[in-house]
Amino acid sequence: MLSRTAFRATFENVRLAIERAMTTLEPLHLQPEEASSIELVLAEALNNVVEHAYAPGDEGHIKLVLRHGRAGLLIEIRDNGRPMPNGRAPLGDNPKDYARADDLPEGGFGWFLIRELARDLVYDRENGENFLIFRMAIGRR
Amino acid sequence: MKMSASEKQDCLVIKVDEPRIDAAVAVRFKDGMRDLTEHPARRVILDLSSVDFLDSSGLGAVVSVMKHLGRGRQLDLAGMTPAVDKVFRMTRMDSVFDIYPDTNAAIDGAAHAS
Repeated sequence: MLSRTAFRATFENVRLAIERAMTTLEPLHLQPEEASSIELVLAEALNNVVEHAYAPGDEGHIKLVLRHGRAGLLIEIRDNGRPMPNGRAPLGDNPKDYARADDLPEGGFGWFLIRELARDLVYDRENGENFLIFRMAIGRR
Repeated sequence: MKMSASEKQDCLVIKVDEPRIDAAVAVRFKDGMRDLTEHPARRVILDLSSVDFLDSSGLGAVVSVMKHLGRGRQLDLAGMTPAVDKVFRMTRMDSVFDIYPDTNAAIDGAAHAS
């Protein structure tokens, strides 16, 4: 176990939690590419909770657990908000070649980025709690 | 949201003086850009050299600014750091924007193009 934190679900707190997480990971001497992938996935997954699991003004909380093992970095995120649509973690929109600027999407890439960068992603709901766990492959040179 | 604009040749150069464009500041970034781009320059260069993190909300905000400028006006990007570049590449948004290593190259690029 590297760290276990809980914080109120706001975008500002997500920022602070990511900053703390990246400090926690410093002793692992990650490659810059690995670190930026972890930072991005954390931002997308945690901001999703703030944006979609809780209604505005909700006093929602997020729990974040980081574990380091032989398989890499395990990231576990829990919240008490709404379940994911249809009880499944979204696949995300694949980027396309956009013909016209008017067609460009301004959102929807969060889950695509998570799916691209994270491995073995599992979403489940236990006792009214959303549970998301995935692995980041690190330290493979 | 710290950002500053300067006129260089016919371009409006906007520098973001923040280390992150993320969900926490995406709306403020869009508002700031809308204010600064009231300047009528046809070409706007966004200097991202101080930004070392951008998430999908930040990306969406940059796209929104580009769409807001509308036809006939252009938003080019300069000075992207590796982590920011990665998000643009993964989402294929690197093919949507003209991207330059730094602002000088962006200004020169415009000069050559015209």
